[in-house]
Amino acid sequence: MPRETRFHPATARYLPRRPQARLRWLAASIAALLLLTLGSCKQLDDFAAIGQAGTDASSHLADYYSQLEDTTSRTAQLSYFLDGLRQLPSSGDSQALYQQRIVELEKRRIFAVRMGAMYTSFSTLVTNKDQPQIESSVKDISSSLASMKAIKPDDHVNQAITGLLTEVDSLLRARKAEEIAPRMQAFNAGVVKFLDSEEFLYKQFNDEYADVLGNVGKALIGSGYVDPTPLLTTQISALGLTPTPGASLTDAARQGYENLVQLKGQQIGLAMKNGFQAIEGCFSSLSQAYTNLNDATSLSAAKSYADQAGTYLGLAADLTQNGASNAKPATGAH
Amino acid sequence: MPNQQPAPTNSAAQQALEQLQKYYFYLNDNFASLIGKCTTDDERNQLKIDFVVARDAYLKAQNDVLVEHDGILATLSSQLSGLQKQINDAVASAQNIVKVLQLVAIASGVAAKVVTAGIA
Repeated sequence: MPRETRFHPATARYLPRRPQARLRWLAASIAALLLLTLGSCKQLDDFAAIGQAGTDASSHLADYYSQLEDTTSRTAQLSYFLDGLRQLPSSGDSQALYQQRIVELEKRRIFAVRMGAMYTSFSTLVTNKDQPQIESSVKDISSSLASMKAIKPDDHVNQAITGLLTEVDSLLRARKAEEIAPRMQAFNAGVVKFLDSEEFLYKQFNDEYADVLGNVGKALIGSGYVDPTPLLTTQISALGLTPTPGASLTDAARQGYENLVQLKGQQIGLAMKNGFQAIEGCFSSLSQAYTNLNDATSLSAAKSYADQAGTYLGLAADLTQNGASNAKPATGAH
Repeated sequence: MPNQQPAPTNSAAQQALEQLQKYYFYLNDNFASLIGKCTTDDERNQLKIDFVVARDAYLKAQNDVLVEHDGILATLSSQLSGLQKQINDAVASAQNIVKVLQLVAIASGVAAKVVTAGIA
């Protein structure tokens, strides 16, 4: 049926469509498109939240691998030192194996950095930074159309058309993001499984550091290579106790120092573990967020996990660099 | 696109690694007392060799798992490259909209001037 006609039931004939009816049809169509546009704006916000959480989690994952490389390097050095104290044969093989681990972890760190770049690009896609330019162009188009008397400056059609043109960019970005999202979801699921498959290894690396650190402390005191009193003074002060200057080192104090060294290693291990679990939690929440963009819980969980990951990794770095005295207590991520 | 998911690490391999770690930690944590119980240099030397062998076996087994997972990492990296390209193309396409609207604004401005001149 031609668009310029309408069916008249009384005469059973097609009559010319009235201009007002045409206008109403046009306005209704544009209103429907605008409703879709509003939907796309909400969707864009959700995609932007995914992009931001993904960028943050990737950045934390890269930091995590960097810290794990550092931990491995420290473990290797401490082992080398401990071997000397124990008069063990050359530990060349184990040093080479530690180096190989660092190379493998570096591959994973580079992957995390690339993943962060991808999420940043996704954020760029779903964040409309050109809106002022678009609004300026649309205003020019509207005033040109008005000056040609094609449309009146203040009528509904003009408002609908300019509104649509203003939002065309958002519509396009939302559409593109929708097309990409399933692929990102599949990739994200792969990342979660990969992280899950290596989690126990990372835990072993951290446990190993704590174990070697504790044994170096034990060997140093047990072998009488260092006077632990200054260390004790610092650590006991950090615990809020008053040390007794010049007092002889009792067996209990020796044991206390050993415990403190071990505790430091355990705290670092716990902070690293919680940091990694928070990263995993973030990517898992993102997987759910792709499935249902209206599920605000998944998005807020992803953001919360990303924040937690940053806190725990910061804590682990603080403990490693500055010792237990400046660290806040680490608690479970879940 | 096909969803190529990495297989979770074999639990048998994980259990083996846990056992290796347990043995290595036992030797490491009790090294001083074990060496104290040795009565001859041969025993002491054997303990030191056992310790190094246990540690190297543990470290090598861990590295083997990491190397084995490199294939999964390569698959994920390939997916990542594809995604990055798709997103870059989409970003470029979205940026074109701005240029198109600017061109439309210029064209409609020119048209308006022509029409206004014609009417005048």
